[in-house]
Amino acid sequence: MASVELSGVCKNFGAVEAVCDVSLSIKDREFVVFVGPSGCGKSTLLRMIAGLEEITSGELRIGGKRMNDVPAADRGIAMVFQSYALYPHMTVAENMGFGLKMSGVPKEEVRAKVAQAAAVLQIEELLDRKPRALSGGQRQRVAIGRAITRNPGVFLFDEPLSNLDAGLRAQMRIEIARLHAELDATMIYVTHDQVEAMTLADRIVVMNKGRVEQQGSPLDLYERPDNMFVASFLGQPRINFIQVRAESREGMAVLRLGAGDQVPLPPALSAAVEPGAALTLGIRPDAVGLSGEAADGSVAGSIELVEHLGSETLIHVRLPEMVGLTTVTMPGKGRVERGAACWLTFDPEQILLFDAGGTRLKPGAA
Amino acid sequence: MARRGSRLSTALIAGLILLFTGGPVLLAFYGSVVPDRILLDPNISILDHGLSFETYRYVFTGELPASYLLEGANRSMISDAARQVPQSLWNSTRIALAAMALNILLGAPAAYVFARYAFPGKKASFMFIILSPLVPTTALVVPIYMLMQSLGLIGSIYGIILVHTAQALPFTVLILSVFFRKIPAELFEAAVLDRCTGLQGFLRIALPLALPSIGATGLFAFMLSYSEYIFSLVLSGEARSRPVSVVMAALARNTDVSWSLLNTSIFIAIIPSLVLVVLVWRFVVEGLLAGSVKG
Repeated sequence: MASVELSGVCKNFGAVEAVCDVSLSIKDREFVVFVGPSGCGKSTLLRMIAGLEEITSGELRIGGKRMNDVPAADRGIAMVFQSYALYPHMTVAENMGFGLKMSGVPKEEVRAKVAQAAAVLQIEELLDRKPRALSGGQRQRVAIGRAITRNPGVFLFDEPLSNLDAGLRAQMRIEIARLHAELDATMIYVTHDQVEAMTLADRIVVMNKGRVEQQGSPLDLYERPDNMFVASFLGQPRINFIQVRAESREGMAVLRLGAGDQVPLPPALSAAVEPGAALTLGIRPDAVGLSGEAADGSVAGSIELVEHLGSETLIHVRLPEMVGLTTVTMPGKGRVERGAACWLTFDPEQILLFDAGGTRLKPGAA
Repeated sequence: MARRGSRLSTALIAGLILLFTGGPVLLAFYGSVVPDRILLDPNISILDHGLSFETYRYVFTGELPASYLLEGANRSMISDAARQVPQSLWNSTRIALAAMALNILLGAPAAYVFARYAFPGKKASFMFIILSPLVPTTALVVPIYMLMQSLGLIGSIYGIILVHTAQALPFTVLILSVFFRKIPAELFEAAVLDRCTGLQGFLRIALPLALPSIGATGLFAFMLSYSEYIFSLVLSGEARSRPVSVVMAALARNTDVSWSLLNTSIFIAIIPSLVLVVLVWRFVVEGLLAGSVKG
């Protein structure tokens, strides 16, 4: 059993509060991803779990045991670093077996374990090479192999894929998902890449400024973000935010955009809205429909920029009196003309509304 | 054309550097194998007489060169100091190797601690070590003489070893601490997770990686010690414990000395450094190259 429990964990560097009052409960064999912008404290949190950083206050338990003062090597964890941190003067096999050797494991057993881990990662033919003779992807595999030989209860990954190119990153992502299924271990993974977070995680923990903004399953966070920060952080291309004002029309709330266009709301959301309030409408690009003709509840704009990605097309639309562009994704290679007038419709079920403080309005009873 | 021009200038500059570095060595060798009367007489060609190694024989065995037994030759040009060259060479080699070893033994751990750990007074002590070579050597001769005298180390090579170690140590600490600082911290964190103590992290991770730098600084300490003069002169005392720099100076100061004898001594004195450079240099360069390919 290797569950990880954090309660009220804080970390101060002098006067700077890097991590503040984080409480998390990570179940055995769960794959949890810490995600957030640079400097949000996610790596510091991981390093505290690893024992590389002291915990200023709060409690850390791994497998039910308090670990605050247990040395890193005795916590039953293994860590994969962003820079791989392979020992340059040792061969791959020596790198992978070093931890076991230092723990006094007999040579034969070390060799067997290294061979076993190498087989899992398909790097048997690299065992006699030095790290400098390996490609980035191979180094990453060795770094993971080094973690596997330690047979830890908890794997910690600190942005392990950020030094790889895009193609290799996608490949290693699948590899890590496969390992998680194979190894039956708890994994905690830090990244600033929301695609990695969405694809790998059982649960995502979104962090900002040292605090946990929200945690939940990837789709949960994607569909029901607590606030604008979480909504904007997850999802590619990013969610659109449009400044609106709530109004009442025939007993139902509608949203009024700057130019006077009105967007109707579904009844459940309508009940949560106070007429007259200044709100932010959040809508994912794939929930926006684009048409060449006006319809009821559509918003007029003009097409300013078109990006063809092959499988889908991103259309950036300028709405009157709006600062930013609104992005629409359309499947396929639709031919759209730049500068043309267009009308946007928002899928009412996927409209998110945020109050002036950025918190999402929860749909009330209809 | 431009490429040819740049190659030409490269060759020219390389040639000039070679002339200034290798030239004196070649001249010393030339002067050592040609007897004085041939060397100094423009009317006699060396080609008629061939090379002569009699001065080498004198330095090592004491057998007088035949050319000085000839009538009219000046016997006083054969300085006794040249006979001290082999012993002084042995002294210098021992002193320099010991200073080199002590430098690595003391300097590497010190540099590692300065590079990796925070402790009170770190900045001040580091500055103190780094700036200490700024004190003029001549100002230190008398105090250090008195110190060594009270320790009873005058007239032995041990006093010289201590002083030479102290002289090279600031450079060793500076160069190695720069290297240790360049090793990514994650490597040591990985070592901590692999159950390494601080000392094991130093011995098993930092030290093997630093070997080329350690080779270079060790070589530097060796050469600094080998060529050091003032302290060697003051602390060495009698002939038995004189290092080669002192003996060479005595030879060179003698205005009557035989040119070929002086050149012979010079050439012999270069040999230990040359041997060490050949042994260590390849290793140093290999290490530096390996490090430069980003790993």
